[in-house]
Amino acid sequence: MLKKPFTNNNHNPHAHVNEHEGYRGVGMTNNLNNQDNQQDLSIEQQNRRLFMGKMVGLFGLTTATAVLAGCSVPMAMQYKNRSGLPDRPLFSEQEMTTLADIGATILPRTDTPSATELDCHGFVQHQLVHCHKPAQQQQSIDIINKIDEHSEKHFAKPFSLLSPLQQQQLLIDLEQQTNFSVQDSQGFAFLKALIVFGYFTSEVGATQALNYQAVPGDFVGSIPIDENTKGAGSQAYY
Amino acid sequence: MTTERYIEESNQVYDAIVIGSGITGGWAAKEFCEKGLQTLMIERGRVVEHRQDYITEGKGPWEFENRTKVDNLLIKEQYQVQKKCYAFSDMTKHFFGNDRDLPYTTEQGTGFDWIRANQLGGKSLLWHRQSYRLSDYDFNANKADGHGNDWPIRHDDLDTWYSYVETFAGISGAAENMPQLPDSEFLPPFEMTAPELYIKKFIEQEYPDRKMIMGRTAHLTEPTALHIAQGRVKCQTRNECQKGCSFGAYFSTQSSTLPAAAKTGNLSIAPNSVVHSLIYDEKSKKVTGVRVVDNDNLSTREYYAKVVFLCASTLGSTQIMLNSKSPSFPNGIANSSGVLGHYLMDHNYNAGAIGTVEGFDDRYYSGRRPSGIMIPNFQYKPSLYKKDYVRGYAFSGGSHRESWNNGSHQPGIGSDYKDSLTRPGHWRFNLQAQGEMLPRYENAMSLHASKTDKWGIPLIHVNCTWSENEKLMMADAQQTAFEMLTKAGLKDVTSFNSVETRNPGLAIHEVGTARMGLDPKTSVLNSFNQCHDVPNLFVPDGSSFCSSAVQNPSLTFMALTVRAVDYCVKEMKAQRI
Repeated sequence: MLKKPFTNNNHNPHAHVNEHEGYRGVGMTNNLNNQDNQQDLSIEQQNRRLFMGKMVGLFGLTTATAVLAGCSVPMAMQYKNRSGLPDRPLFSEQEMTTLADIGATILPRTDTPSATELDCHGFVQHQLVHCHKPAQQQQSIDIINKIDEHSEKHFAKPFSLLSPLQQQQLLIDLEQQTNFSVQDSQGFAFLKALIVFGYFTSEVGATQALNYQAVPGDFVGSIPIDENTKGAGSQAYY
Repeated sequence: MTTERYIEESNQVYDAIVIGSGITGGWAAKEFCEKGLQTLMIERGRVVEHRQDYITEGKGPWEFENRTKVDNLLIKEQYQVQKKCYAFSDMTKHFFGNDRDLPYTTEQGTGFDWIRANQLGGKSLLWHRQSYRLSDYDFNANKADGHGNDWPIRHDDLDTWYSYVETFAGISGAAENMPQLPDSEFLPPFEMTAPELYIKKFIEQEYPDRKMIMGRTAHLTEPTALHIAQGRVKCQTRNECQKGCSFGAYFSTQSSTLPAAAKTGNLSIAPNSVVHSLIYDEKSKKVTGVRVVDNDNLSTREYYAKVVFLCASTLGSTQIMLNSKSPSFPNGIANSSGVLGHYLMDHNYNAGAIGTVEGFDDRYYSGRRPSGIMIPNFQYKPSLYKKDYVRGYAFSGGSHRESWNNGSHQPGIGSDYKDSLTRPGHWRFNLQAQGEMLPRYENAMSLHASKTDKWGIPLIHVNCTWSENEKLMMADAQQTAFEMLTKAGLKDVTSFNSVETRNPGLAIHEVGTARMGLDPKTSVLNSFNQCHDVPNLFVPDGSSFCSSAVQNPSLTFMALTVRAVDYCVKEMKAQRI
């Protein structure tokens, strides 16, 4: 319904360094931000139009306009979250680079963007700082370094320089505790869940990878689906 | 559109003062105004205007900096208690009370989680909207088994008033003709999902004493002309109700009772007015008004009226009464019985089970249903009680298909994993007990001996614990839920019991502390929610309850309130008040 192809073919994200932030990874999203903004605006406009449409349909135009004139919706739709700009950097440049590539390995680009293209690594840092405990922050730093150490030990290069297949296999080994400890896999499970959360609560994740319904209109208890049906991108509680 | 009059200073003697603007206060104000009485609604918090102050409505999760989660530091400093509420999030936190500014204490070794919503509309903005009548078995329960005092009313006394509020508020549900759960005036029910229909059929065959019904909820599934006239339309099934709803699709003060009251031209509202105490006149033996402390600048003022309705929430109303001391009532107004503050109850939501339903993977649902299923109490009279405890419980619950939330904790790396997260997952179905809590004298609130809040009002001190009866009930409910789901063929069934770790209060169904009763020596209020001791003081909110029953209580607050106003106005006309 709100689907619009994600277009970022003009940029190689890894080629860019954000001068202001001084590290790769987060900085690379700067170019994406421009893309994002255009896209967000478009989806926002569509959301707002949908909401307006519902209101007009139900109240009539005069009332709906009056209602929305003083309403939060226009403001709400304007608000932009740029989670890649932490007020307290948690990860070093190197850690952020590795984290970005962990994200792209867990959720790679398919017909929808990868986790890294959606700045999930920036989100993870933001969320760890604002909504998680110091122990969880440390655990996340530890597991990122553990992944790099493991990569250096077995492949003589950092995780970011492995081939995509090697990266995938390393993280599968980590999940299955092959050459990794239980504690390692638990630390990774937490980090992975946070990346996934960041992905599907992002606008692109919710509206393109999933079927986001801002205003469903009605509840139907039972509908047929097939293997191509997307899950609901909107939930009452996250 | 808005015709409410917001006031600050006033020497006017109003016909009626209504303290509080939540579900009870909204109804009281509407009824007084429509009967032609000049009415002042007093609200301790800020004004929340319908629609324009629903500042998070329509926002997707990506529009919140922390993606709907609340910042650690903010929680630590201001929301240590409120964070425990299921509906508390970055999308709703502005409608919750601030624990830093609203402290209370609990007896050592006990805990009570008090969820607050101090703004115009109160908890009517945040409520769960489930709406059920109490039955004669509920009103008779105390008398039947000897716990607590007898309710001075029965279902017949409330029947027409229930119908009246249901018709106006709009309650969706289906008629079931069950003795323990009287039917309401219904709008069409929400639909059940495919697994729910299967489980309903199974349970009703396997357990002849049980029925699984669609939850009854204050949502407009099919608005009537009465609702459209209120400016309300059909529920859009967003299930994001606690952000506020511009469609007015669920009942709240803002969507329903307040516009009706305002339309009469008889309503004034004093926001930001924290009621300190009631003014009692020893000569006339009546209340003459209220003392108020300004919420913002702490200045004091008074408001006057012929009658006062206390609708400030269960703990809030009783706090005001306990703090209203006079030579006649040294222990709190209308407290000659000494029971004011006692018999505090909540509901016990501490056991349940969840499992996976197989065989329906080709079915899904569309929209977000703002309700679930209900298995009404099947132990509703002494002959049906279990051996080791009294009273019973209902189960609420429902089904959903798992999503990426669940998948985020499953193993998987790469594009196949990513794809699996975008698909509907397993069907899950859960049951959660809603247990009755016995009325016990020991479960009480009082005023703290020395500590006061920033408005100079003594803090509430709560001493409330689950008794052995509640613990035994939850153990049984846990086992029963597990058994029902297992027998129905669900897989991976797990059950829980949190009665030892979760404080009372979190069902947000606190009731009691100013109970009704026929005997003025053992109760605060008569059968019309009128104080035995003070004829022009009424308390129609949850504090008036004699027992908790198992049903969500708000619908009964509404019915008690409109009945009390009707009685009060008749008494005023007859010059007995």
